[in-house]
Amino acid sequence: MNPRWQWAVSALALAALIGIGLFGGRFAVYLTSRVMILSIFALGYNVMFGQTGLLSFGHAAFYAAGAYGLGLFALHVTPHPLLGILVGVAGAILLATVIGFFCVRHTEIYFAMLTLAFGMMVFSLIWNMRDITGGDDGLVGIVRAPISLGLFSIPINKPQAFFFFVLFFLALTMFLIFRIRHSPFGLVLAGIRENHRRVEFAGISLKNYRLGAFVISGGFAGLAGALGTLLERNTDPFSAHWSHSAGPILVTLIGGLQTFMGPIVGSTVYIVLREIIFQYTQNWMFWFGILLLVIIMGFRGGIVGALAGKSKH
Amino acid sequence: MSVQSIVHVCLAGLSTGMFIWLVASGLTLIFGVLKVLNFAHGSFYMLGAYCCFSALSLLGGNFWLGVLIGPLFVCVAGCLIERFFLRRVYQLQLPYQLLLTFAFVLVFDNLVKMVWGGGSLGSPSVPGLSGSVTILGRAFPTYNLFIIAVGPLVALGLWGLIEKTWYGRIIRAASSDREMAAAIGVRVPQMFTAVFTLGTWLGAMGGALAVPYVGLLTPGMGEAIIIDAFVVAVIGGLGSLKGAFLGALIIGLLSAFGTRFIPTFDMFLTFILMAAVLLWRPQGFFGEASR
Amino acid sequence: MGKETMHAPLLQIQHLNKAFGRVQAASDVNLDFQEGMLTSIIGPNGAGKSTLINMLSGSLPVDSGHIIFRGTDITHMPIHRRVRLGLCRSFQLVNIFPELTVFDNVQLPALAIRGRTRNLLGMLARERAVAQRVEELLDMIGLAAEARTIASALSHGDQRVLEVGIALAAEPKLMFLDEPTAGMNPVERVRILESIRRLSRQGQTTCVLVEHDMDIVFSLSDRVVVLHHGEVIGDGTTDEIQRNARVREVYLGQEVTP
Repeated sequence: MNPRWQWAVSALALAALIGIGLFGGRFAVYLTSRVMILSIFALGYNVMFGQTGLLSFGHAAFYAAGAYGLGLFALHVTPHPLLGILVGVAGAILLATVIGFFCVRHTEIYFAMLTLAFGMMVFSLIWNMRDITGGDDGLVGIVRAPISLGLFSIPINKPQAFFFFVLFFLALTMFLIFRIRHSPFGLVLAGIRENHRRVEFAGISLKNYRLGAFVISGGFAGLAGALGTLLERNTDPFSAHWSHSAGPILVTLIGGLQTFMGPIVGSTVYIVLREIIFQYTQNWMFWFGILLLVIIMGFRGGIVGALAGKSKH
Repeated sequence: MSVQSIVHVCLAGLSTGMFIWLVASGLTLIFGVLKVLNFAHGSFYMLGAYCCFSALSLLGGNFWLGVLIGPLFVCVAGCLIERFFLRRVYQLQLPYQLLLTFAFVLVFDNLVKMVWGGGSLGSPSVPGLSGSVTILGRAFPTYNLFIIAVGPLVALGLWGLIEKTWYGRIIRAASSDREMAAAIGVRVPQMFTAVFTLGTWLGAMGGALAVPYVGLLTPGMGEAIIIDAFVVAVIGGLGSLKGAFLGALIIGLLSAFGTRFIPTFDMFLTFILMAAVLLWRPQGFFGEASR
Repeated sequence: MGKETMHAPLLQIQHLNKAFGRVQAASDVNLDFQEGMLTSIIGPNGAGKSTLINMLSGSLPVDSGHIIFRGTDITHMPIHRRVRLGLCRSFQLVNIFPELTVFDNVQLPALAIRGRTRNLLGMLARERAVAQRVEELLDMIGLAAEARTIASALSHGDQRVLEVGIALAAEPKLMFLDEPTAGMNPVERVRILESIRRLSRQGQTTCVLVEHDMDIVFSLSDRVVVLHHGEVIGDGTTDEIQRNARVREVYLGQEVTP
């Protein structure tokens, strides 16, 4: 897709989002907010999966770190949203650095296994430490306070204003990730995906750059988690569960792995499909499993043909 | 800290360990031969438990019939999965294989909820093995002793199969060099299906035997056990049956001691051990060095 | 002919040993490499040439011995740090970045060696100095016209040339070329050899070839090292090697007229 088309499509998408924000009903605004948050999660994930070729099954843990980081901060220190987001993202980055350190030195299978194991350990922690995290109830009663900037305040406690707040972060995310993709660092990540053995011979420390990609995607996951908590005003321990890790994976597979708008398209399909299935059955995850199967078995050439480059194994 | 406590904690650790070994053995066998990490192995374990439960409910409450028949259904599922799904993705890149087994986790975990409901099911007691035995003055469940005995039997059986039979030799050949084995006439695809089915059976059997052990069947039991199996694989070395046996023993004993003496932090012990192994011997005790 | 320098050797290999089970792939190898001297390493299949290159470049750990490069002991140094010090290699089997453009294939190591790759938010398009150097390199190896082509779409010979180009882009002081002309047609072969010769003459990069083609070896090399069963059995100028009885017996024997 040449750049001019990309700009056009992006502009169109932006216009559509603004339109929904200004004129949409409550449910549309809420649903689109969820789409945007999932897009942020998926865009960040794409840096690691699509660009660097690392398949992690535990990134939900970083989403949860952001979610609970903001939640705990809001409940125990101050409900200031921007500070809360900062704390959430910082927590996610820290956790991603620690977990990533153990995982990135390993090859694909071990890496996948370890990310899953560490991710579920985080889930266990959240589930079991009731006193801190609220256990299976999660943290409740989180205030989404308006942001006061001296003379005036941004009333993000209102759904519409919050919508544009999230849109701002989505735009910021897209900008940052665009820059990362087209930076020298981004070229190294693509090189790792294309031939991870050769990059060492080009003078690159494979471990360090993989960790970089891992942490960056973890940070964006944390941002998504923090925004998610602000949206729902509570946290959900299942946001750390591996089934939640399936979210960005499915989104990037549906939307196209190395395309830029892919995660947003994929998120829209994901959220809308989920809502539809939810009308009929609680077990929407079952159908998403089937969907994943169909994609892998059926469209191998098509959408998934662009999957993760030609990694040798 | 009396001798009695220590012995009982050890016994508890042994039974937990052997129990994890039953599950991990299947996972390890499948990885060792097919080089596939079956994320859905925990789901097979869970399906084994639920199928056993249903089988014995339908067949008049006979536990042994349940153990016999339940896992067979899961085996069939495993066989079909390997034949019609997994086989098609062997030649594709690794992410596809991982995603495929992951998709099956999503499918099976939710299938269980759909078929058997989202709540927990109580398990029946096993005649002859219910109740307890008094060891050093304290009661220890008889069924757990049974598990402690079954573990090494399975280990022996697998060892015998792989090391002592001609089929085992073929398995070893195909796992170290697929093309070579095919070149000398081994029907590799069929063998892979057979090994996958055996591995599935081991996992499902673990689940079936778990029914009286855990006492309660829940849709979350699959994910809990797969994490333990992964940790065992990291410690013992992915693909090594010896390592899985040893790793399972270590994890079992560690969690038993942890639960007894440092209750709140016992889960940390497992993580710390895994992190330590990853730092000092990343390939596990018996694994091959990666790269 | 390359310059002879009186400085310390660029690379010193001391008592290097490596065994695979019962096979001794490297047996007390002692070699010095002077800057500016184009060396070829030859030997029958299984002589240990690849093993040696792998140990020197860092992909294979040594059993015992030392490797000293530019005065630093690099025996246990990770691959990427050796590259940073100036020790590079190209591969016998094409080992490129398939879906990146030719330009990006070469740009990656060029950026890395200049420490530009930590730049997360800057635009690649602004790295003009590096881009210029990449264009120079592509000119030198004759791939300038293919700069925007995806690497996997190149002909096999062009891919081999690119392979060497990627190694060159890291501005090595010492470069190992593992059978650089294997599978090339005569035109491509001449092209790559000219590049190697020119490179050697310019003096910035010392080349060490692993080769089977004797014509190339004897026309290009200042020095020839002969390996057999992991041992060095010959080390000298092309004339000396051609006259070396042991070498002829083991390796060139079949070509000698009775």
